[in-house]
Amino acid sequence: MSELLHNLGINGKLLIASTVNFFLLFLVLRRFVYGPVVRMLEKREKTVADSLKHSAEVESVRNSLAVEREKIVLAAKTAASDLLQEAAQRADRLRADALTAARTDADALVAKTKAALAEERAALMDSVRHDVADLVVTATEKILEQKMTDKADHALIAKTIAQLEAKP
Amino acid sequence: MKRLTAKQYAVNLLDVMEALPAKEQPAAAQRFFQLLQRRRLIRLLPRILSNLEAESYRRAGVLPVTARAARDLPATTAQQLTKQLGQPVVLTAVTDPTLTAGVQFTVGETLIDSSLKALLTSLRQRLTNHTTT
Repeated sequence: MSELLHNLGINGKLLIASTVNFFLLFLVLRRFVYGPVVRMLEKREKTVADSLKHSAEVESVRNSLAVEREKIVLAAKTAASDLLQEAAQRADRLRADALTAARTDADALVAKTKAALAEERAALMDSVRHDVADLVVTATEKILEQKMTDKADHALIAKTIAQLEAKP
Repeated sequence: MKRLTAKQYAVNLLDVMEALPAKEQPAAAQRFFQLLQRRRLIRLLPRILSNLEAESYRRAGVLPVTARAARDLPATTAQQLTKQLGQPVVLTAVTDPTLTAGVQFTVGETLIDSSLKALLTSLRQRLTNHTTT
């Protein structure tokens, strides 16, 4: 065995020493390097896993928020559309009401104006008629006063007497 | 006691007057006025006198005519009226220059107005009452 190792160029003592050194180094490394590194890696892995898990939760929340936002936006759009439609209808109604009121006022104003004009025209015509009547009567009276002689007056009286009827 | 009308008072008074001699008629009229005062009927006096005049004319067979004219009436007016109306008339003439010309006859309770004033009034009414079309 010793010769075999010798033939292979291996020093038994050195091998043992190297082996002991290796185990000592292994123990030291395991105790002071491997353990903390593994724990650190496990911790990091856990952190990464937590991060991934949190990221998934965040993604899920984000997705749900996005859906909720879509719903809210849709509802808002619907509400806004309804409001706009209602506002448009209300504006149409108000415009129609205002138009109707304006037409009614205009018709009333026209009717009132026509009535006032008719009344004014009637009053004017009445005034003109009275003025013309006064003029005609006054002129006739003046002419007849000048033309009426005693003879003509007596003839008129005689004519009136002739129109009297005898009482039965 | 039943109340008499103005016409009944007039007829009764005329009956009494006609039955009395002329010299007693003023005293009878005086008593009649006193009677009206006692009965507080003096307010009827104008109507009684009017009825008395009409009744006296009726009994006399004459027709009272009042003629209102702007100028003096022709002297023959009463004769013309008598002839036209077929009975004697008692003409009361009133001058009213506002009539301008023509005459207003009041025969009994009937008014016949052919005065120029009436004609002009009628003309004025026809001119002013014409409706606007």
